[in-house]
Amino acid sequence: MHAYAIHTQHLSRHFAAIRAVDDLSLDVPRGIVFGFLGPNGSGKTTTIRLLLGLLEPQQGQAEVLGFDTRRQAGQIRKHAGALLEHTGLYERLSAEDNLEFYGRINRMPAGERRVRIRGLLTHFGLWERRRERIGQWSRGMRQKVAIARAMLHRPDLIFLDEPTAGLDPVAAAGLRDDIATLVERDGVTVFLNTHNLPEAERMCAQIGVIRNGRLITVGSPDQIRSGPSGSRLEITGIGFSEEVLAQLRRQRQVEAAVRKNGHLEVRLSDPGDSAAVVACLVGAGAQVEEVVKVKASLESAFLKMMEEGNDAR
Amino acid sequence: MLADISVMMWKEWKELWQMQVSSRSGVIGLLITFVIFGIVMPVQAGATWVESAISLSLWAAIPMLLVGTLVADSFAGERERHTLETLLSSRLPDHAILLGKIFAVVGYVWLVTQLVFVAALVPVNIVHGHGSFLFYRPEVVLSGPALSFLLAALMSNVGVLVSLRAGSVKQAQQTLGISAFVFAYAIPMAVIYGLRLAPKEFVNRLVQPILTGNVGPAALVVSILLVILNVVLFSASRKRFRRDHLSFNE
Repeated sequence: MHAYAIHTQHLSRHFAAIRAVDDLSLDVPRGIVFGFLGPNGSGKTTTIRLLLGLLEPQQGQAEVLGFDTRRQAGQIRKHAGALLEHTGLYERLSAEDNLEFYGRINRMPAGERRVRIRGLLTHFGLWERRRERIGQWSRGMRQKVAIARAMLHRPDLIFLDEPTAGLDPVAAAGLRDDIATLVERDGVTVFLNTHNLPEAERMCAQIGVIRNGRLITVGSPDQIRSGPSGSRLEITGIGFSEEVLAQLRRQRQVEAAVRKNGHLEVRLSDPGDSAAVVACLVGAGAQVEEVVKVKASLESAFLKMMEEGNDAR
Repeated sequence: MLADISVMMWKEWKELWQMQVSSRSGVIGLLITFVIFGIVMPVQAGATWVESAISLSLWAAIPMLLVGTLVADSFAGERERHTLETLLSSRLPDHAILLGKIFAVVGYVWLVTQLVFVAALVPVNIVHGHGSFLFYRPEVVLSGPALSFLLAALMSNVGVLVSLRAGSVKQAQQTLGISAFVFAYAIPMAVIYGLRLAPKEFVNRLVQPILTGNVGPAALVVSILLVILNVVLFSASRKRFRRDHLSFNE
């Protein structure tokens, strides 16, 4: 058994002049929810297509569940489930027939197929409506069937491309819980494409951030939040004059220092440098009453990364 | 391989059932086919319908008229309704998807064609039987099903190629509808009107074998030509219907 569910090296795919995926090297451990974050058009969907062997990379290589995407794509698709950009459900067919079709595709024995379909539809609260045509259903209900389809044959890895996009907040929260429960129970790896940052923060053990086809960073949500541009101090006290602030700003680790809402806000390049900041303030004659280390939200860390990307361009 | 093809056919037939039999427009379409080819034309043709090989031409016409709509819906529709990418992300091989879809359409249209021609015996015998049982000539019974199968396959293969290039189901259906009209109606009508201008003796020499002679050898030659055409077109379809060709260069 390979340690990584997904392992890519310098994976690249271009469409004419557009670098959809550019030199992507990534390792996704087994048994976690991995969030792949990026704005629209950043290369998330193309990455899934490359990993499923639906597109051939022009450079680099990728292994999914130990199978090479160029030579063993059939094996990857056999062991993986996918909910892509669209639900991919047949609207003329019932929920039960949609799942029956994919159960047959995956060569599940008839008895096992029946039990599994019943189990999943019951879990999602759709069993009673299993014979209705999908076309008449709400987006949230269809999304649930699509997730059931992705999990039907108990795959080792599931690709989910924006699974809660277009859902109302209640349906999205329910769906997140469903995914979390099912993942925990079945122990699969989930590769979650999203630009919904709170969703990624709640669900993912690891997150990769992609921009313009290039991977910017990978880590746990905590690591990304408290990364180089994501850590700040809120300091309460007396004597934060302009001279004191000017002295503070000259410190190597201090990126910014401003008075805000009655306290001093200091943004650090290294979250471990808070003691030096306090020493500097005290040395300059200020009195420090309280120091609070504030981790940036994933959203602000992400936005910062995107801003830096735009500045670099 | 066969299991994969039959899974694909299972889904296609489920959808066809919903489209053709469970919807009002589908049922009306089928009824029109049965009324025109199973009642009106046989009754008008009279005993000639079964005693000559004239029905062979219609045995060929039905697949040409029916296949286009269905094959366009199956291939272009799968893309238009955003189900293709999910299907391609499954473990089904490309050729199983392709063959499953083609066989499903061909099988359905072939079955409808045979049912129409069996049904046509009823009005022919009621109106023109005069106490005896009228039945098709042996070479028609043998070559009709084969020709209708091969023509349905030919139209399917053409339909696959057209659908893969078409921007929408409607566009594919229009293109295939025009082709079917040309081959099933315009060309035969042109031939009929052309024959009116030809010398009577020449026409008799040409038409007489169809009315009274054995058309078996001619049907065999046509069948062989259709097999060759099907092989060529299927190779082209197979080359085109590949994941890395189908997806997703936007």
